[in-house]
Amino acid sequence: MPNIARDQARSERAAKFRALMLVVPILLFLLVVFIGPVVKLLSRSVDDRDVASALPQTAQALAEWRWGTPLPDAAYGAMVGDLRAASTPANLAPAAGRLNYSLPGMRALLMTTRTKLQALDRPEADPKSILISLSAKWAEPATWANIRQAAGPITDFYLLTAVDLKRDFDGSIARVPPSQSSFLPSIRTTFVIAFTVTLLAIVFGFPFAYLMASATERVAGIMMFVVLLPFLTATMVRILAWGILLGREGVINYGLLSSGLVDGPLDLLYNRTAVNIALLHIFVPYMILPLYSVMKTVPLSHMRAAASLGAPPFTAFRRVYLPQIAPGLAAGSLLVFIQCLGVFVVPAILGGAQEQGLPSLIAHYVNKTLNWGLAAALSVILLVSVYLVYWLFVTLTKSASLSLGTR
Amino acid sequence: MKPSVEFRNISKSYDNQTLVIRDLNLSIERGEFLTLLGPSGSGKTTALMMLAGFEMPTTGEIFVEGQPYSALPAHKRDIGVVFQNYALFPHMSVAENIAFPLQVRGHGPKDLDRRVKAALDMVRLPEISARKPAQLSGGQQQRVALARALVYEPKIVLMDEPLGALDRQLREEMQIEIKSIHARVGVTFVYVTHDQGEALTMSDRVAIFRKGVIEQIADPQTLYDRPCNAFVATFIGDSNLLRGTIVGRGGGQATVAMPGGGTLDARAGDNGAGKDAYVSVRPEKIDVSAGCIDRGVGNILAGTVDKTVFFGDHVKVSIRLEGGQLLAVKTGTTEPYKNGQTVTASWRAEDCVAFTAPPTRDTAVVETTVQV
Amino acid sequence: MTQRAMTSALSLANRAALGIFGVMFCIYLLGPILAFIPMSFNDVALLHYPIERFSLRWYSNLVASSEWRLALLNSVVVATSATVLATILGVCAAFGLWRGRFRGHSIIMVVIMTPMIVPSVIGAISMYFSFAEIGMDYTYSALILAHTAMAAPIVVVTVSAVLARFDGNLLRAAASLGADPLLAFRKVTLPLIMPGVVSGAVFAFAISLDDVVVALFLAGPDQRTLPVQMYMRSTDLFDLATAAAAAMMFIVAVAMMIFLELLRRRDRLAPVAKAADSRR
Repeated sequence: MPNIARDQARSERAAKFRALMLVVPILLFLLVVFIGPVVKLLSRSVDDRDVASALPQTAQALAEWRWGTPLPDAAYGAMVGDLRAASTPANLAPAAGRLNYSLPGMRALLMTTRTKLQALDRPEADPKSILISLSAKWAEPATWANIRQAAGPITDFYLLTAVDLKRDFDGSIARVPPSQSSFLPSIRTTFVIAFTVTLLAIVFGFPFAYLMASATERVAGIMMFVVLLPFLTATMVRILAWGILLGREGVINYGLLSSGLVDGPLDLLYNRTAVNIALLHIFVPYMILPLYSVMKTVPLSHMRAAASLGAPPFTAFRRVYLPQIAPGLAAGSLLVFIQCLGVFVVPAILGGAQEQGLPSLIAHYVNKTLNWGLAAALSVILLVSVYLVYWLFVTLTKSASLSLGTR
Repeated sequence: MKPSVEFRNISKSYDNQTLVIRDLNLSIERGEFLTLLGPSGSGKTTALMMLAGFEMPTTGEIFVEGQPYSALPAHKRDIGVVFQNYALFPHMSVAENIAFPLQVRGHGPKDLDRRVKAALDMVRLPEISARKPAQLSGGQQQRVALARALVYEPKIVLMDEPLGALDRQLREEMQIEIKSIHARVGVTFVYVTHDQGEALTMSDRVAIFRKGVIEQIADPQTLYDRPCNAFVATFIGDSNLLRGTIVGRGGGQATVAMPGGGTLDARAGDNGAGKDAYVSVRPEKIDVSAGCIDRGVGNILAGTVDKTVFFGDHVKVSIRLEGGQLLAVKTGTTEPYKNGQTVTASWRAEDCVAFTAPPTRDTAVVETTVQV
Repeated sequence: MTQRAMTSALSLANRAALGIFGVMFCIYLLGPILAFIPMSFNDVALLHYPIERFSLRWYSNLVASSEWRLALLNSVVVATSATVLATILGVCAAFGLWRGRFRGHSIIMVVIMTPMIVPSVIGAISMYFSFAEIGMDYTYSALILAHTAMAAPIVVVTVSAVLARFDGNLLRAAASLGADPLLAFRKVTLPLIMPGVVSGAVFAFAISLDDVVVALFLAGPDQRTLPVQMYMRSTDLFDLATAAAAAMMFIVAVAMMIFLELLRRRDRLAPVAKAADSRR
């Protein structure tokens, strides 16, 4: 008898296992193609091994040194040894780049010192004076402190930089002077745009969804068509459409000029309003569709019951209607908000310099300066924000799945 | 000959804590029409699902014609199932639905047509083979589901509340229909329902389930006349359940003193040693007469008319006995009673049973079911 | 809700205001696209209203340009391949999740939803970085795999929604009638959830066709898709070849829209769902 019980437990497990095997492929696929790479990118935000691998002796010699104490003499010899060991400039390039991020001028210092050292005979004899003779910067403790801080293997340099903070040589964290800072304003821009557009989507999407849910089937069908058609049209097409509508030589200016309302074309493009209008246009279906699908399920009798029980319309709306459609409102707000946080193309085409947020910065550091560490750190900030909002949604609605609702 | 189906020491738990079925032993004869009857959550459907192979017993073994079946997947069992909502495949026509089990078994097209037609004839629906399930009435869907479960001549046919979705008239028609099909095909039918009328009408035997165990298994007549405990007595048919105290016992008889005075003679329903008694008597077995007379036959209790309800072919009179308990009586329409009138209720000792164990269903609930 | 629901809650004036708002918002949603698309038929190069002479010259320019032709072809190839892969992965996963009802169901769902949650810029540079390491950047395979990852979640969501209305008793019925699980899936489940599967595929196709950001990073000049090509040209908003390409993408959107509506009308699960009890 126990054998039978075991067989049966096993066959029940086997059924679960077979079902799980159907889910495994997508999990593996996403792990390899998407999640793995994202984790790898994020890990670059704390990864700091370039300097230690290019200047191993120096890193070791500086390991015990503290800011404010005299520099150990061994450091000079180690540096000379490391630089002479780098047979080509390319061997030194990643480390030089990294040191240059935290202390401008370091790349040039390392490269020229290396070249000059190659020309010298036996510089090991008196490394300290030779190095200082090659560049006065080698006499400055900041140069060495910079190397020590970058000796890895992990660092908080990129993450601090991404929020306009820096670690002073004595180890304390300080604000970057406002003149040098560039990241916090971008982060603020991203959030302000996301909040504005989500709010606009609620303000416009809610009555529209309500209208749809209470309209006759035919009218609701037409409205659904009006929502879905732009939704299925490629974002690029919609962005260009807004560009052509709002441009200096665009449709609106053409209309205004030919009707004589204005004397010269208005600057409607490359500002916050243009970005907000286009983003609302692109993302408002994500608000309307879930709202509509929950509004359809709220029976008419509930509002009537509330009225018959003496609730004035607004009270009935707040106490009876709103709680029932809250899941749709939450889903819609989440979808709009997190997509706005990640939006990149719309500000790039329709916005001015003031509208470039975190995603634009991330793209910039990858494309232009190849500063992967900083791009990764900015990605960490963006991703943590997105997942905080998502986590809030999952806890509030007890559902991990983001559905637009079944029609 | 081996029984068609045998449950041996079957227990089932979904969460490894509470048992839905507790040590079930049940043997079903070949060709028998057995009904599993019980309130919802009593384990009857779980028992059926384990036999069909959709659920695994936690312990124990199910034998079908002597073979252990518990580990056999559902699709290899050769057991026909009619589902509560019929589970007809909505994308297939009636003929395709019925042909499905034959195709799965590799029957040729000629054989297929013949047998599909025969199955539709059997359920008296020869004209609708091209239609889709959504175009059929509830009764027609029910018949198609039955034809589909029978067409491949399974050893056993299981039905899970198959008539639950039909209206009363159609349900009664289908009860007769299913019974006559059972008589014709002669395979074992296991039928699950919570409708006692349905169970009594159709079955050879009825197993009464409660909280995962069978309370009583017997033919309908025995269940009605000789319930083995207060639960069965109140679950099958209407029954009064009068509380009293046992004052004498012997020879299969018990004497019960009523709280309002007077004693009742009853068959002893169990061998319990307790003093509390629950006397079950069916409303139609009770005679009622006006006034305070003593005709000297069997049990006599006096009371006042609390309420009368007219049903056309009979009248239900609710009598408040001395001591406050209510007694429901079903009587002919001859004598009109007034509320508050003094009456006498009497019945034969062999028409009532005294149990010492209370029905675990709430007594208040039992009283409301027989109140009028 | 019917019209009367509104009367109970809103006065006539409010209803009129809401109605006007509805019309205005419809114009906001459709207007820009409808104003944009006809321009591609304008014979004159500059934006010029009203359109005086219709012509297809921008379309012939588009087809004649090898750059645009390649972009068009790339979009079709990449979107089609990614759709096929995403649909296979997504349908399997949705069915497995529906069958298994695992304890870690919501954690699995969080993992599957990742590509929909992670901002596309981060996904794009992550995949670029990892594909570049193994020398796969600027290849069709990389772009197709990336788009598959981005499109698979919507297939899981769409098919899961259809499966939620699928009566599990039908599979029990199929098993009791002798069909093994694979046959039951093929003959019963798949035909019934097909509209959902195809809707999921259409959404997957739309996601791939819509993507600019991932393709911007992962595609080399040879893999440039239509939206990327449009992005590259967007510095000149009034390039009418771009307008012609946009018009073509709009026509694809209309086709997808009609297709989805037809699927919705064919949904065979709808009448069954009413009869089905909640038990699975």
